[in-house]
Amino acid sequence: MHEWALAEAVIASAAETARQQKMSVVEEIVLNIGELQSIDAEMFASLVKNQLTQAEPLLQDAEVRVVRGEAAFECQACKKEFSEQDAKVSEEEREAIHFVPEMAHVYMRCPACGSPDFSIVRGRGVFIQEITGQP
Amino acid sequence: MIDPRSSVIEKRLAGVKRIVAVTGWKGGIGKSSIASVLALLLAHKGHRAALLDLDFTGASDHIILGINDAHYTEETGLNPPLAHGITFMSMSFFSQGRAVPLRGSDVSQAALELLAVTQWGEQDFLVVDMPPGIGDASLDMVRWIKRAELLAVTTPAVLSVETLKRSLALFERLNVPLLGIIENLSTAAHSPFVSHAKFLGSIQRDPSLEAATGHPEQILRTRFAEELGKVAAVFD
Ligand SMILES: Nc1ncnc2c1ncn2[C@@H]1O[C@H](COP(=O)(O)OP(=O)(O)O)[C@@H](O)[C@H]1O
Ligand SMILES: [Mg+2]
Ligand SMILES: [Zn+2]
Repeated sequence: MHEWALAEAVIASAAETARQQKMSVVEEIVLNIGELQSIDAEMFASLVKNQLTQAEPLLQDAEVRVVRGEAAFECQACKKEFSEQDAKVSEEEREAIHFVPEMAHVYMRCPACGSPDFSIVRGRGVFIQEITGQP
Repeated sequence: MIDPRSSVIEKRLAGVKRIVAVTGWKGGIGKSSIASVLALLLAHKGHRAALLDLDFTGASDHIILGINDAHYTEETGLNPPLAHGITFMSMSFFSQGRAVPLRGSDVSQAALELLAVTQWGEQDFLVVDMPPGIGDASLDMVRWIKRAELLAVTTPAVLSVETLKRSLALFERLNVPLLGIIENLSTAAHSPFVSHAKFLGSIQRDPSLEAATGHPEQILRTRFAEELGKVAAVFD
């Protein structure tokens, strides 16, 4: 459950942001979870929600919503854009990528030219996309 | 979009008393050997010692220490395994012996991920084997690992003396404290760094180190470990 650690990071960061924006109560936190992270969206939302009950009062009643960020890659060598499905990865490889999305570079190749030199354009990480509340 | 990961790093490292970042301005000068053997020596002296290999593209601490079958466990994050008395985390756990072709920004991203999810627990020392040089990746590390103290590794070459000065000046501007300078692979009786206020000592080229690679008990009996042990006295 390394998701637990990420959920804790989300809450610490949400609290920081809410204070910066001088909110007195946070109503909703929208999270964006990259596909590469292969974290179940609903499971993660309820994990965050669960940890929120223990968080500071400002955050306790916030709704948590998760949107998925589709993964996209661009080959540096031939400039082709491709998806995770295009570059076939095994279950075991997916697990390594699940913990550290940059490991995609270890296991994936450009499906067009075979180069390992590609960039992750989208679809990594867990982000706070939006945070709304009352001043 | 806000990246939440850096917000939690301090909390992950809260149980660690001292963080020693082993840096050097190029590859092949003994950074990994010094970081690994330092962690080994500290653990041997009875300290709670941890080692984090952040040189992802050239991860080698697991080879130096012969950590082959240890694996992290998952709980409220990733718990690093204890190997030869050292709490150890490395990207080698995820790359399964394959090459890790990462550009600088990806090195930073991967490090951030690992720093956000690794649960170090209570440690007297965390030794960090840093990415080489003073590129983005190293600068990101010292930004995220706020309490890091630098242990700079260098060699006697003239070029090295100059780069060391420039790099140390940069870290000083970034307010990263310098614990000390170690000269490795030294040949001359008098090190060119001997006059530096933070000079800790030199380590000679030790031909027996190669054969001891992968065998911690044997490493502890090398001259390399003996000389590093003297330098490590600054931690007592
Ligand atoms: N004092 C020394 N005596 C003999 N060999 C050494 C010494 N220091 C390092 N080496 C060897 O030099 C090589 C590079 O060392 P390493 O620690 O991997 O450097 P870096 O991490 O700076 O790239 C390794 O083979 C290591 O065993
Ligand atoms: Mg190294
Ligand atoms: Zn290509």
